[in-house]
Amino acid sequence: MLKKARLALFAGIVGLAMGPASMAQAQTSSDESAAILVWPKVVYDSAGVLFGDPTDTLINLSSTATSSLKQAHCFLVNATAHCSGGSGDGDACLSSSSCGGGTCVPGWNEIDFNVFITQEQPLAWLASDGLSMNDLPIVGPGVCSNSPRICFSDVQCGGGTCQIGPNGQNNLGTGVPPVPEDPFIGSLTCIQFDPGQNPPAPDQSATTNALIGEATVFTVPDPNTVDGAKYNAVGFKATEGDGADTDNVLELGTPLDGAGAPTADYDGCAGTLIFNHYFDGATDPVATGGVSSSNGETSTSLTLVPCGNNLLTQEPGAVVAQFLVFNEFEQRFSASTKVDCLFDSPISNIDTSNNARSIWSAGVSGTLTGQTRIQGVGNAATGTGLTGVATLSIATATASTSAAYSLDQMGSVAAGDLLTIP
Amino acid sequence: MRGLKRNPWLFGLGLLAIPVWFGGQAQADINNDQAGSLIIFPKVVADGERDTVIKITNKSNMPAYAHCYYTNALGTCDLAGSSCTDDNDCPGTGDSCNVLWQATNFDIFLTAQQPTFWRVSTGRFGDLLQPACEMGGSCACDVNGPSGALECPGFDAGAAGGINSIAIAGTGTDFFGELRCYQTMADQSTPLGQNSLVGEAIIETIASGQISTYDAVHVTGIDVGTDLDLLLDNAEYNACPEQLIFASHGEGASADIAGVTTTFSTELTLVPCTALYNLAQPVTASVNIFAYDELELRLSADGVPVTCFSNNRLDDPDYGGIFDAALGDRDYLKTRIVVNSSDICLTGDNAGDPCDDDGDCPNFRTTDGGEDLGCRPSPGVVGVVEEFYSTSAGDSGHAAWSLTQTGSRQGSDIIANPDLAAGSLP
Amino acid sequence: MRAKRIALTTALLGAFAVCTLAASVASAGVDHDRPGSILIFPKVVSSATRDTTIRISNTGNMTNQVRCFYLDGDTCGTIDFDLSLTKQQPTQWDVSNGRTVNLLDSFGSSGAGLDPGLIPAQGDFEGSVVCVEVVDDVPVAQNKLKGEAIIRDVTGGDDRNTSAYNAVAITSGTGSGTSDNELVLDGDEYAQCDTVHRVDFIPDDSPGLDPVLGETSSVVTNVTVLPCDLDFSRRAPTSVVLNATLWNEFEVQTSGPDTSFSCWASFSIDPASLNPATTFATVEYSASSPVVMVVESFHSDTGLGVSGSAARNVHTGGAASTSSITLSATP
Repeated sequence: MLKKARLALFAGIVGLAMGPASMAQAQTSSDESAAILVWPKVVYDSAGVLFGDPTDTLINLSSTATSSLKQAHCFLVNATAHCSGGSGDGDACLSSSSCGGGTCVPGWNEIDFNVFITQEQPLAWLASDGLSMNDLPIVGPGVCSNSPRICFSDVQCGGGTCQIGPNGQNNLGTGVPPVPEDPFIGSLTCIQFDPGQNPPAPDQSATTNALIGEATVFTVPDPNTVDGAKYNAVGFKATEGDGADTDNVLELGTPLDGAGAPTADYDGCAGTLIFNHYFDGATDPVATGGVSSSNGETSTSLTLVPCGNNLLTQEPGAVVAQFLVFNEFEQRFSASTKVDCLFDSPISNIDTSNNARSIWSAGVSGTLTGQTRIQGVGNAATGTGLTGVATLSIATATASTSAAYSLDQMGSVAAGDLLTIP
Repeated sequence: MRGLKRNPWLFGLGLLAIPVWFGGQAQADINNDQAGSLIIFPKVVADGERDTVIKITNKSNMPAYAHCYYTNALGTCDLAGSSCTDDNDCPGTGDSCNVLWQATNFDIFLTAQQPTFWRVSTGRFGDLLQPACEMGGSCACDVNGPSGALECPGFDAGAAGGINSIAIAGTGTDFFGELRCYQTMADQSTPLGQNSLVGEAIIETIASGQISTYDAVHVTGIDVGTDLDLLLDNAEYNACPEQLIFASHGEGASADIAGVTTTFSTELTLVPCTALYNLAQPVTASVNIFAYDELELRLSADGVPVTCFSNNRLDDPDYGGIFDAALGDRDYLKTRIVVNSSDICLTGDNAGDPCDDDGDCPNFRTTDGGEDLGCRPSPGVVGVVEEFYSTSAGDSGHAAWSLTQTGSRQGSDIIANPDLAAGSLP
Repeated sequence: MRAKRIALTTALLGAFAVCTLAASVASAGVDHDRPGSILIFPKVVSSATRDTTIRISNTGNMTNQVRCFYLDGDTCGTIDFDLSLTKQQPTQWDVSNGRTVNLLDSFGSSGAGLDPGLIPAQGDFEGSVVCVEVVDDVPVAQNKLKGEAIIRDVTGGDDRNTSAYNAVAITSGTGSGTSDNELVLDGDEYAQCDTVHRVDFIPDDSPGLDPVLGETSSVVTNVTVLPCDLDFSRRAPTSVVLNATLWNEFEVQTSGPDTSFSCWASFSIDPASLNPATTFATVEYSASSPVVMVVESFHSDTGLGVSGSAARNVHTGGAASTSSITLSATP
């Protein structure tokens, strides 16, 4: 009866909601090629110090350009926190509880590098390794255009050009450093540049928006088990209305001109991020032996990074993330936390250090699954946009597995974000 | 990465043919990361070895109704008797895969902002008296004895309503196929372009507990009509993409992951955007698949058929070995899936054949809404990729991810629904 | 030393790489003995007992880009790959192994020489290979391709029979060519296929003896046929009915049986209609849709424990109705 009554009530008002949603659509995407890619979560932990098991990340970067060389100018942000004081002074940490009386101090610095990627080329590297010269697929030697001579550069061709690779496209100039420390947690941002520009500048050619990327976070709990959590990089497309300009301040979304067309350099961050999830501590409804108390227990970690950063002055974006949480009874909870550079936490630790009392705890929410909506607020000069990825883990008494998935997006950040590069 | 060593570029390749193609492409608006009025889960497994959890959320402040179809693409080899999804799964001489592509439908109802989930094999039982989880206790579903469906705390999403009844029927453990749901008005039939639905799927290997997750394909409603023919034409709903792109390891490639030699195998799942539920008739799309390696070398499998549902490892005979990692250190590949551009007869005597106009498709069918199902653009496709890892000890983890989409198809796909009220089921 | 020599060769060839178009030499007809723009190898086998070596040469003095298709005779599925042949370059690969790109292949190995591109391996394969001259994926007829196929026994026993035949070469037509993916074999874009295909053979029923080997011998003649209407973009098989007209040594003409097939067929000539049977006969095939054909004869003698095989092209005539080869569109 209750259910029927509920149905009747909503059936009466559903007619009010027949039109399409009026809110502007988000512009970033995880399923289209783009000019800026963000991998929110890159981790490496060879000994499982931070993450329990040995962990590494495979970064994939591919070009969808069918006729030209592309350059990705990439920024690897190191957000690894370290203990200050205490018995663990200087050690990497996730919280102060592991610092032996010291304090876990967030870190933030970045290194940048270039990746030259030929048309249609896929590239991949492990965060722990990077890509050295010896790993590059197309580096030479080549042949001089004006004589039958082997060459590595134009200088050797006496006025001719040294053609290395198909159509003269090759990976020379590429160097991807390994992550700077072990353990490591951080993010990666790659901006499509035009390799033909001097000085280098964001790509404004017709073949901008040519990058796609994925990341696979591998966990190796034992020599017989490899578990992967794979997600698509978040992409920002260069806007059609204005296009990327050549200065070093990249406008992500808004403002609009009088006709409502974007004048920003790139599409903007989502105004709201949405993801479905199990509440932490819920029992996996699918598990060995059917549904029983021995089933795996679920937990979800959320990784968020600000869309805006000032990489010139080394000032990370700082955004307050506001959360609205709905359970299956349509009950709503809310919380907020600061996203300074990078936020990575089990959802049941967003609002409290006591997981069992979190609004993201199944025992508190009352149902197995929920919906969380995230909105960035604040007054940082870099903007209030957020992007990220979620990772579901299911642990039994003997094993654990994980899988990553993209956050759904809705609307656009009203004021846009600024990404300033050196 | 060092585990993916490349051959250095060899200068002789400088003479290789490279396709030249300029100009941008219009972007597809079907997506995996925004809510939609039509959501497609291309890969849903409940075959006894793996099971799937479907999660759907209403992201709006209004209630949301949806009409859903499971399509079971799991068949049986005529001779071997084993399960199959296509003839390549029945390698015996003269054997073939008998698939019915049976569609079953049901309705769901979500209150404002309500999330819901169900396990595909068991479905979900409607029991509002199921107590909410409490702090300090476990938060699990119970099993409804007679039906085997899960009884979980929370408003169940079954639109049938009532207590002590099946809210969402389970498929049992003989299912491998797709799920798609379109948002409707309260009558659970008339399409509605409210763009409220967000979906994700979790595929779990029961024996190992390993999971993969992926975002459903979301199709935005633009100017949705009230007839039962959903047109994915960038006017009523967004159109399907012209190309799908994904990067993967070469099939059988190995790499050193945290000190463990790991072998990679990838499974590609594709489904046609067009579906003829009104006729209970499978639809065949045709795609050309181009695999590029790190030296830009291209191999392709042409005219690969996607009949109703295609789920194959990359070493499947349909792909002709173009993904083989052993063919010259092809550790890593980027793949483009290009939808055939020519028109085909969607129904009629020459169904599946190329055509110029409806005259080439004698006895073609028409939907209840008056949409001709004769000579139409070849159906588009959407899909998902899942990667499997194995070590010296055997199969290990797996992970799924969405395909990158580019371009919009010329012409429209159609999802033709039967008028259940008028009893127009075939 | 080796690297240097290859480099020099490559560099010399590279100087011509920018020039891809040569003046076409119009030459209507389907041939086995002159270069063409479309090469068809109707019979290609890769199995546990037999393998096929494909040889293709560029007879021009410019780089020639080629798009090749494996057509599986069983499923009608196709996969394709790209070749780039430097001036006058010959190349080859075994179907069972394909060919990788590795200039460090040692001399004498099957991969030695300038690798033309990445060629996928095909195991348990029966079907055809079709190669088309292109420039940047656009079909451009230059009539510079010639090819041969060698089908070999790979069982490793005493009988290492080998059969070889010339690829069927379709030349450019009299018109200005095409710029789309549909190659029309109408005499204008490309030469038409032939209407009739004639094969002399030793009937395998009565008496069916090899005139050299004697009383315990037998001869089986196998015909492999591929439609000229090919749609690689859709794996759409073409259905064909082959009408057989036979003559024996008494000039007695009989007909049949007809053979119907879809996509690709390989069958032994059925001499049942020959009346009276003679030791030698000829058969002429006409088809409901244009086709190309190749023949392979298998001779064996159980008494002597010997066997042999030989392939050959068939005698052809007439210009068939229009057919077309549709290539898959590239991204």
